[in-house]
Amino acid sequence: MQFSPDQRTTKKFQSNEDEDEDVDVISNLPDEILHKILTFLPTKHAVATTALSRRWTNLWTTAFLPHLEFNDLTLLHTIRSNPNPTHEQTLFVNFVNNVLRLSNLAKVTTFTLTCLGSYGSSCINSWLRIACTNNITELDIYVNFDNGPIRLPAIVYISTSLVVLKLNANVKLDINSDQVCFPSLKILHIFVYNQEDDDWTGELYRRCPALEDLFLEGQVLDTYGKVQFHVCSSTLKRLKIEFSLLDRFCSFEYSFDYSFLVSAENLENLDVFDNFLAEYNVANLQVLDRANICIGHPSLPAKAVGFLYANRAFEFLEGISHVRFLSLSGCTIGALSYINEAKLEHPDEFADDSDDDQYGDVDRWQSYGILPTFNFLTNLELGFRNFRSWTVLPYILQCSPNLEFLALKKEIPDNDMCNRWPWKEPEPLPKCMLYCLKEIDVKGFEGKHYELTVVEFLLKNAQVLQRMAIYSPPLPLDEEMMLHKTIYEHPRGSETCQVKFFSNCLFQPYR
Amino acid sequence: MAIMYALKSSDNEIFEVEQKVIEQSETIKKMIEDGAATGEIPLQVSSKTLAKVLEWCKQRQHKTVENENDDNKGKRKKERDEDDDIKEWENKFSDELKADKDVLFDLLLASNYLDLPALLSFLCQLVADMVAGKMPEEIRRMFNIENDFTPEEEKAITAEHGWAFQP
Repeated sequence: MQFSPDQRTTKKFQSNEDEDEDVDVISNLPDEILHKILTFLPTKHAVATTALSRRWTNLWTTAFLPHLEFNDLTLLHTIRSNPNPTHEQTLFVNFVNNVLRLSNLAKVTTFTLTCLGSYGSSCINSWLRIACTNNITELDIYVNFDNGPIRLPAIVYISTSLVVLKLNANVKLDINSDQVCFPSLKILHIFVYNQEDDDWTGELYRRCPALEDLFLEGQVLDTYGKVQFHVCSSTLKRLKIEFSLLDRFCSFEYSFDYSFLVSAENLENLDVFDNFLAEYNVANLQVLDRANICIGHPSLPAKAVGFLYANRAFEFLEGISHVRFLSLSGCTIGALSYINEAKLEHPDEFADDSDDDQYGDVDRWQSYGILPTFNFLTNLELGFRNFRSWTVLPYILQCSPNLEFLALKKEIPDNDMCNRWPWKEPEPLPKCMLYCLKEIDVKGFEGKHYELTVVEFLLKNAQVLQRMAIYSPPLPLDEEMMLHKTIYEHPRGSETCQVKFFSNCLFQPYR
Repeated sequence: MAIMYALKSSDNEIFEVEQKVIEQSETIKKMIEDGAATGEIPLQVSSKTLAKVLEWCKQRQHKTVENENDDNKGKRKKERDEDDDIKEWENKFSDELKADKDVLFDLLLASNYLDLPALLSFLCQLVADMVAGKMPEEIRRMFNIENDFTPEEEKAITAEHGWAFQP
């Protein structure tokens, strides 16, 4: 960096009106205000003020910075040109050491450490020991796995101030004894690396007496072996599970098995994402309010594993039957409708199943997988990735007797020809269509034959429908006009139902 | 009928203000409680700055009253719209202050003196945003800070905290 030796030259820049403009007002503010300004700066920038002038040089060390944050993310730029940026790393280590030595740590409440580079576990452990004081409420550690095993200081385990803990590092917690740990911890975000010994995380949640939010994240590293996670907590209110398989693996070719056992009777919100369909054993969620489920792979497994695959989706839904707001992604719907999709895609494999016309039939579905009755479900959003999976819709409607709001969302444009589309209207009509379904959103509507069939069926049979909103991607104008006309003129089961069209709406993938 | 108070600025201008508005200031609230407020309340703040302070207080007052009057129904959308309005107002307020740094620093002093924690935090954040990510030379130029280090001292500081001056 450059320091200008002659300050007067730069000052002339500013003096456009009167001489007062040249006065250094900020440095004349009392220490308490300048300290307060420093507390709003990221640590690096707060420290940089040391070079402004003598007035500033020690201000940051007396400021009681509440948020200490160290990150070496700028290494990302250097790594590209220099795979071994030791100079920058040395600067970073010196910086962290200096700040921890010089600043007033008594009021540090949040400590965030982000390390892309490798500094060795002893270095990182010593930083943690110094920074983790009695008052710390949030600790976020994102440290490159190459740094070796990280240990949290003992004081953290018994801290009554720690509320938020985020771990994305090669860290294994010491929870062998029978003691309570993290007595005040409410929010835990944990990225699981050590998948060979997964059980310690389960023990962890059990020991945290105040845990309310858990975000369990990971990546499938090995494509063999069985990995099991237990989430058992009676205080947990919100749970998010997110595991992904790298794109280069295909989920059906490997013999790995992930299962999640969730036992959390006070859970209110559940978000689940995977792209390979793990096994979810979820039981007794009596107060579940919302669930967003995005599980399964976009492509279709072969018959050999297909039923097992589809069954997992059915079993999962069985466990969340008390939910009030439910969203199922296109991949999830794909798994539920697997049996129909597979039949259409590989008719020869299913040659022995003769009664081809029974696809939409509820009884027929039940011989493959059983949906629970969602007695409390009022809001439902369903994603679709192809026309075949729409066949599961009648069955889901039958199982949702108290549904008030339904959103049907095509996630991607549909280029398939669907001259053989096995739609069958549900009989008898689903209860929700007779008594409570008030609003329907149809998103990504392209006016294909099967979409029209579904829209017309809903319009004609939903007896208390008040509003249907149809969102279309950009379509040729004449085509769009025709569609509007067709739908407007179609008979409606509810006299008060209004239909609205929204043009030029883009497709929204689930995430 | 709302109770009104008269505030007198350091240059003897009188501002008539509702009690609720000025009670956000712990300093004034205490003056009223102590009985120092029988006539005009004298403040060590210039009229120009006091006008700005009151502009802020009225906006804050507006916001809290509206929130209290909300019933639960349709609150979400209303809240969202309100948040947008407040953001817009705050952006305008910030822009004016950034353009006139004397007012900004007077206001900082006033918010500290009047004990208006929300305004003080808002202004500190504003200054922090102006400073963050800039090289010392840029910050000095922005606020007319004189570099009173010797070249040797400067060198030593850069060496000690080198990482802080990385772009």
